[in-house]
Amino acid sequence: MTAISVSHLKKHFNIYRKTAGILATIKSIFVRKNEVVKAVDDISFEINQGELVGFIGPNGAGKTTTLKCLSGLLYPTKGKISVLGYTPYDRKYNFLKKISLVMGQKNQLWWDLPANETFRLNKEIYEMKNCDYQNNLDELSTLLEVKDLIDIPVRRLSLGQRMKMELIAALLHRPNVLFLDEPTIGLDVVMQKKMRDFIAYYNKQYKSTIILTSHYMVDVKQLCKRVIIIDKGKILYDGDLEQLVKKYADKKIISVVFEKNIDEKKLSSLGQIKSYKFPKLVLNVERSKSKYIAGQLLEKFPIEDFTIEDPEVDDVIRQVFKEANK
Amino acid sequence: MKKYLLVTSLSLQEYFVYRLNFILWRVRVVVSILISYFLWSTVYQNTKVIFGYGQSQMLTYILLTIFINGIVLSTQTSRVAEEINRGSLSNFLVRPIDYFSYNLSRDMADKIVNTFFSVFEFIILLLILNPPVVLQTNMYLLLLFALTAILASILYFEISMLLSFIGFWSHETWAPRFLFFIIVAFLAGNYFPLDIVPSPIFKILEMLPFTYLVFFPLKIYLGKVSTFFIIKGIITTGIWIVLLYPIMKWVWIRGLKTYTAVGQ
Repeated sequence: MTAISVSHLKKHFNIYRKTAGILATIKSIFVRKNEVVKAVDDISFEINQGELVGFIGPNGAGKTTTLKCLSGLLYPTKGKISVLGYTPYDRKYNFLKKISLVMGQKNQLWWDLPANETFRLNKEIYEMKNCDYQNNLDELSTLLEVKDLIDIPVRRLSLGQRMKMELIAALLHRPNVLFLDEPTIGLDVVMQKKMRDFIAYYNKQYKSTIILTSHYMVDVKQLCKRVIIIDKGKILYDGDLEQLVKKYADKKIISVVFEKNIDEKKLSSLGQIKSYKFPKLVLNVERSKSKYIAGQLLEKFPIEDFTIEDPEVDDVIRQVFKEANK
Repeated sequence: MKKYLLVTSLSLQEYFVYRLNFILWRVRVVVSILISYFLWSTVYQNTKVIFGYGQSQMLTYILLTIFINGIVLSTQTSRVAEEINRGSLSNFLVRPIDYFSYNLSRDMADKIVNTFFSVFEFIILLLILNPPVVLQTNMYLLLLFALTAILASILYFEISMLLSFIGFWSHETWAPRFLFFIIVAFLAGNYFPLDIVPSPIFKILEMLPFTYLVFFPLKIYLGKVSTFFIIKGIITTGIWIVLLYPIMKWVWIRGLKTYTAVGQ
């Protein structure tokens, strides 16, 4: 079943330019040069119920703008959006009760009060039953290991703990659709991992549709089967992440650890040397030749360790952007 | 409904996190009242009646501004501009809650705390300064005083929200607000009863909404008003409230269309 459908969505912003300096500032009071920025420029996609989709793109690509359009914060300039059958920017209560938006850099928690006060308020806002509220709160706070922190004023919590509380506040009402904008931003690696595990669990357990944007490729790689790559407001790729890697990765990466120091010149004939620092060599080779070159290496040189891998997702994505910008 | 009561309750709790801040704010209010109080006391040393006000009426007026400020002018709506500019307005827009009711509930906390303290301060000032005061006993006038104070609160809420909505189009919301504070303090009658100005000017003031925020309720409390004056005043307040309501909603909807949900 389709949960989200977007067709020919456009969102343009008017911005104005101003050159630096006091004179320019005075001038800008009277004359402003307007300019239209196409944050989202004619994109279409559909997402099914229960899917976990990753939005990838550089800063300013239009990821967050798309999420904001989907959650009803922004009026689209053009195009149609339907989320769970609703038009988001009508902001009907029945729609809002079924979604949640978590922004890594914005919080809904009351800063000076314990998190459970915000939870209590959300219970009333979403008109939840007592037992549902208690069950959900218990489950979420246990999963995220913050049970003993919910009565401490939010400003005394660490960033990671706060982010977990934000997530609880956003999930208490069991949204069918969840928009996560940079949920792991600013967190340490351990916390990022916990957050990821939790998101994956939540998606599986409750079949909720999740759209996630992140700068950290690990987030996307581990969570999302399907990715939508956006740059300059346009969709560059929409589909399976693995397929993407296969499609773009015409190269393989061979990593070798030598037993003895080998002259670099002898190695350069094998393929493109990505890095060589004794004892470790990293080679870029064409996919079709990888087997042959691997054989050559093992035959001719004293080798301690050896691997052949697909390129990192980061590299693949970078290549997608590079080709799009040609 | 329960959600909005809870907002008031949470806002009250929030208040007591910064107790020192609040106490200093109250001190500021009292000091500014004392300045007016002593100024007028000095004026009355040589005369009995000025501009038609006797000493007890004038001093009662000045002291009661503490109370009426607590009820009418206590608001947190300046936070609206901040929420718009910082993008945290988004948190309200994605939840099933009415932002106007939310703000009214948040203001309720402000009004409760400030009014509560103003009553204490009023009593303490009465005991210390022991000035001649007018104690209104006419129930009819007291009820009208309460009614006009409530109307004034609604009117002030609308004006203040509109002022905060500037945030949709500009980041510089403090300059207009500051200017507004000064205008209100002056034109609403915080320093002196407005009808001491020459009558043509007062005629103009009577058409502005500010007159009905402080001066009008206090004037009713003091008595010595005609029924015509009361009815005219209540109708004018009503017209302003009814007029500003659709404007406030319209600006809000226009604002949301330009809202980009960005911020620091």
